[in-house]
Amino acid sequence: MSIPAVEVHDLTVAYRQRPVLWDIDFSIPEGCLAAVVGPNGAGKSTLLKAVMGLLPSTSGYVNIFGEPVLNKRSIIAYVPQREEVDWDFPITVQEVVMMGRTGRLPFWRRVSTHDRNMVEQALTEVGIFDLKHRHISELSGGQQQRVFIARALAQDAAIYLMDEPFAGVDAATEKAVIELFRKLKAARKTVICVHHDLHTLADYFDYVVLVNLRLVAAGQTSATLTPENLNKTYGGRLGLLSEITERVRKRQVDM
Amino acid sequence: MSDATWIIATGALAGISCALVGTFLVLRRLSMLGDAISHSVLAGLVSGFLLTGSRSLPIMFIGAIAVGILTAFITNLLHERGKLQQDASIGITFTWLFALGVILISAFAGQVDLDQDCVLFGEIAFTPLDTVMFGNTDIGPRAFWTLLLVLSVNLLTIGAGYRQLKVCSFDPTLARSLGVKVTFWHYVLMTLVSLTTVAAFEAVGSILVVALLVVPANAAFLLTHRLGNMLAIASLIAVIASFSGYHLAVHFDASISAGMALSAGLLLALSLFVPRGLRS
Repeated sequence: MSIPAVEVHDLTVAYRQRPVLWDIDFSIPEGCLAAVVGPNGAGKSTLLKAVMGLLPSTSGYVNIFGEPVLNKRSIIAYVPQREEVDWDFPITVQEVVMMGRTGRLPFWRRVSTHDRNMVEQALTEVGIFDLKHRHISELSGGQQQRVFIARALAQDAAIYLMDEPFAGVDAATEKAVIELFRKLKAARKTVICVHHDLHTLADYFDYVVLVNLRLVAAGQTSATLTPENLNKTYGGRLGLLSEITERVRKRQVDM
Repeated sequence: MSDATWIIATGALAGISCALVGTFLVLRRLSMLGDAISHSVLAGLVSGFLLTGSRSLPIMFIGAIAVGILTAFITNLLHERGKLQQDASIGITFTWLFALGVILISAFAGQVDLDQDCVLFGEIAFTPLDTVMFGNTDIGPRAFWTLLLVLSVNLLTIGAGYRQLKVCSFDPTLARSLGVKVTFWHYVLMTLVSLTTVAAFEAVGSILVVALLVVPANAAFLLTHRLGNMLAIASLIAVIASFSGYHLAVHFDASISAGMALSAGLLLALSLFVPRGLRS
């Protein structure tokens, strides 16, 4: 078996001395579209940040292609939730995307033609090239999300971690983003998203990680997204759970 | 140069230095941490003097930077470890350190050549009286040269760390994921704030220095959509405030530093009426 893109082993993460994720253990193969799914407050965003090595773990480790994540950060691109940044910050669309390439360069290193090309290509890929000189406050929710995704693309990473890329975006953006994901998959890139919409889960993602403070299950969507696992993840708290369960059952019958 | 020119120039240097670091404080929503540091550095000045018996520039700066960083550190500790709110942590830290400074001054009043009124309100009008000799030539007020030095340090540091400061201000998570040392740059900024406030202190006092940190930067925020422009416009507003504040104060025979702060406030009020579409 080949080395997994992401391997999370026995991970426990604490926030202000209070554990928020326990015993998380899974691995995600290269070139798959994976979703992290769970109820609100289940620690999904925390898990994503821990995979990026942004949070100190109490125990366990994260390996990226078999190496500690801190050595491999340059091949990971992270897309935060839109609410996490200040959209009134004095910066243009193009500058945000450029940050993905040059944010860490020391002052004596100039922006290269390659950097500029990567930025233009990323802007074009997500369909916001025409907006590049706009200030970020002048964008719609969907356009803001595209800016973040363009920034991740400009980083030219092997692994993309995205925190709810479909939250509050228009249908056109959702479609554009999912098409982009499929292109990334075709290029052997690995995409891991926190995802909320159980309706689209099975259509968009071929791998799921179900969490609710602990790991419930992880694996191929077809095998893992079972009514039992969903029940365990949501603890029966979800109103539309029965409907989803029905869909999942139908799907299994179809397959 | 005439006294008026020296005073306006000194005020402008204080204003630009504050506007540059103030811009990053405002964008990182740390305006009140600047406020805090500008007050707590007093304890650093006094302890520096008491420990070494010297009131020389390096001792002042070292004392100020030490206490400035201590302020940022204790604030962070109360917030992260003590689980207190950010604004409460700032309020607790700086009033405590400021009080410590005041007590040190009172207790050792005979030994410390620091006037409490001057600390609070500054006396930029007297800066031309305290001049520096270069050989046998009088080259102008000490405050002017101190602030010129600080402004140069600010410009060089911000120039060198521009990309890092920008990405840390806009998106600290991205910065961390790119491998930028976010905590390091935070303390670099805090060091600049300490240096700047202690240098601007003598000229405009510890209360009005807050106006120079916050007001020009916020006015500039209303006028532009680009970080580079924001730094430039904030500096320009500081210069205009120094010039008009001086004349305002002379006209009403009032405190010059108060005149500067008042002018800065009026310029901010004007900025509010500039339509969004005209932002550069």
